[in-house]
Amino acid sequence: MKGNIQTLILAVLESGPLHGYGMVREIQARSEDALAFGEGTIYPALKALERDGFIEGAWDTSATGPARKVYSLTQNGAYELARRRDVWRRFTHSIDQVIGGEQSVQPA
Amino acid sequence: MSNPPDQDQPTALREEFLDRFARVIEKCSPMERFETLSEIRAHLVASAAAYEELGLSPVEAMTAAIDSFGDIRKIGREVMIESASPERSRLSGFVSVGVGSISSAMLFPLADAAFVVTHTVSNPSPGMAAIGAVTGFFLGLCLFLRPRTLPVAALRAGLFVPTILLILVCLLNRAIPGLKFLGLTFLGFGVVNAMAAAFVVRSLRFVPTVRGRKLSAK
Repeated sequence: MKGNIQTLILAVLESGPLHGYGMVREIQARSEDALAFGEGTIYPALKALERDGFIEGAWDTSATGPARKVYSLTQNGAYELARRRDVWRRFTHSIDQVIGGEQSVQPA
Repeated sequence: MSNPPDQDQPTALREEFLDRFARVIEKCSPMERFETLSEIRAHLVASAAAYEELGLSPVEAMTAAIDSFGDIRKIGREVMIESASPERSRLSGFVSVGVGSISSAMLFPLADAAFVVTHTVSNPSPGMAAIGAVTGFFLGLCLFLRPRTLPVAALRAGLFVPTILLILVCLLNRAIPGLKFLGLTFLGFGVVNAMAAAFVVRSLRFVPTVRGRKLSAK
């Protein structure tokens, strides 16, 4: 999970800008609550993605309550997401090839 | 006019949590720390509001929001590592190694003159300066590197084990009395070096680290 959280963040930001808590909710909603993780783990990943130029943050002070940092995907982030999607699909395809799934096991 | 206790308590819980988090990320720059805490404050407020919509009381909602956030020590450490710019990490390395090398190169000949001169070489000793510089370099390097990866852990062990063995040999070698002082000198100035480098690195708010990012698959 830890290694993939950056990819999940890039994927949810593809639909539009979000703040940290919004991303957590979106990931949980898309996975139908199957992906459980400490919500705070999103912040180190956001720092890394922002430093690498894949996302950019801006403070939103318009809403009521404390100011929120809203992130959006950059052009480089979109390329990176496409690359990670490709890697992930090739990986899952390889695993599928090995473990199969349709054939029933016949006792010897 | 003060707020009713039921409104104060969630805020107190949240701020106490943020204080603890601030202590974990104290090595971040003040701006970085302020922004991170502001971001997490907004997260907790939104999370607690969602729990309240599910029917929890404000205190229960904030407690649940804090529980959902995760292990602040682990998260804080990761935030600190990711917040350090590569330039800053590199600079902290140069500072550690520089302080270690220069102070050792200066202190070892002085120690040689004070304790070992009668049994070994003339005063001042260029040989001791060279030994000091090399030892200080590795001590600084070890302070800079954190054992996040196996090679770094091996480097640390590779430096300290021979140093400790050298000290033991020197202390036990009664045949050459002067060398026991050399062993003690190694130990004493090694500690001084490490403390001096740590002080400089800490006071300049550098985050000594080696990125383990290369290990994680992208």
